Amino acid sequence: MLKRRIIPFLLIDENSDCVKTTQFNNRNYIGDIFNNIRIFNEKKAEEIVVLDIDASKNNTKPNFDLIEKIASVCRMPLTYGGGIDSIEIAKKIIALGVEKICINTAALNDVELIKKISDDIGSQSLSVSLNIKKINNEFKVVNNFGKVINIDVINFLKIIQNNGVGEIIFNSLDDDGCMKGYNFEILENFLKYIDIPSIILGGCSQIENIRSLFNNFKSVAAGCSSIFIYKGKFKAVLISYPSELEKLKIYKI
Amino acid sequence: MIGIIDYGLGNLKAFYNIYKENGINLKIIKNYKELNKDIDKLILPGIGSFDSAIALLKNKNFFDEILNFATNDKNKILGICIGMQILSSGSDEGSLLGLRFIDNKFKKLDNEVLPHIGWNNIEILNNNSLFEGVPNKAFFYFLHSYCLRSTDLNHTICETEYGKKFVSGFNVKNVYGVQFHPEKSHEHGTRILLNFYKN
Repeated sequence: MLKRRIIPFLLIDENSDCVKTTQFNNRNYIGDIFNNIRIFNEKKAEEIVVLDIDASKNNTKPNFDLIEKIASVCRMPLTYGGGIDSIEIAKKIIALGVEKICINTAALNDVELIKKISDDIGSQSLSVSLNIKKINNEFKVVNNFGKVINIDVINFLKIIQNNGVGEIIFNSLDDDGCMKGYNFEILENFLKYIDIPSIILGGCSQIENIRSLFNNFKSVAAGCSSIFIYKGKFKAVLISYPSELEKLKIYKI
Repeated sequence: MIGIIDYGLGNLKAFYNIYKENGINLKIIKNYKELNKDIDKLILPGIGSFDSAIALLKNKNFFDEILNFATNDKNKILGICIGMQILSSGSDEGSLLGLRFIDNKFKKLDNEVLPHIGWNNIEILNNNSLFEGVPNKAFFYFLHSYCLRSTDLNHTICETEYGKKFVSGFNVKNVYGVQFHPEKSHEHGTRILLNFYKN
């Protein structure tokens, strides 16, 4: 039986530093990216996502050297996102040893690109990440600067699935770094429109949040950052990941 | 000596590192001419779509060399993920012909949620040397939408359930294929890679 997925997310900035944000701002340095990945290796994390949060913002290409080194250190299946805006870049990153790529900005700019990339590398290796923010009581897609993108989200989800995306990441801006639990309302709104795996990210602060997510929603993976990065009320940086025993408790309904 | 084909589709470093840590030198084969008599074990890795993988093999002249390599009984081939799929006759994902070591075609998985992404367990069906030291029902990482539903003549060595059961591993003579990614499946995956090298 397919295990439910518990996935650490690590963010890197333009200086290749590993950071953790709150509502996409207030960057907090959380240590060396390679060191953090090695700790997740040791803890046998089942999968990991690394996102460069500056590449698209600064309109720069992905840092290929860095990605190659990350892929070489990483013992878990690796998803990389940030600055991927062409099929050539997508293929190059897969060739560096990444299992899945994630696109966000480029998907919003050009839905045809999704089709081109998925035809080449396969849907299973292509994720689209959507930044979600509630505005006037409605969930909107926003860009990396928090600016609203005027699209019909439901229609967009249909189009990108038709074009072959293999996974959707719902990244909740309002909940990022707030450690108040997952925003189930996002899933209640959008999950019925997708038939591919998805990940919810933003808000997870305790194992109970993951258990509750798994109990309430099928085929949604738990995206996790603060919970596996911070320890205690003063938020000391300490990388963690549930042991096999702890995971059994999460799966137990 | 063990080699891995570099045809531009993914995670060679992961394999290289696992073998290196176990004192084994994995040769990365970039050119078909390097597929010489020094190599007796060959890994076909891969992340990609069926036709793109076949097209790359052909462009780099690997396609016929692999067929030729397999004619020597002492040689062994292990295909992983798309590398397993291209060992078959074809796939509904594309229109090109595969290497045809196994005369079955890959079909879309039968599940309401696709692709199949994540850790799933395998049911080991025979005592294949690939599984020495691997417990039955061990978990491995899967990342695919197409699968082999069945094989003729008991070539299936393990099965996995996602919606319905599918063939997650097969062995025909000196050719092996696994649908999951042993190179990303921690200790059990490492074990399979070492078994392939040793046996």
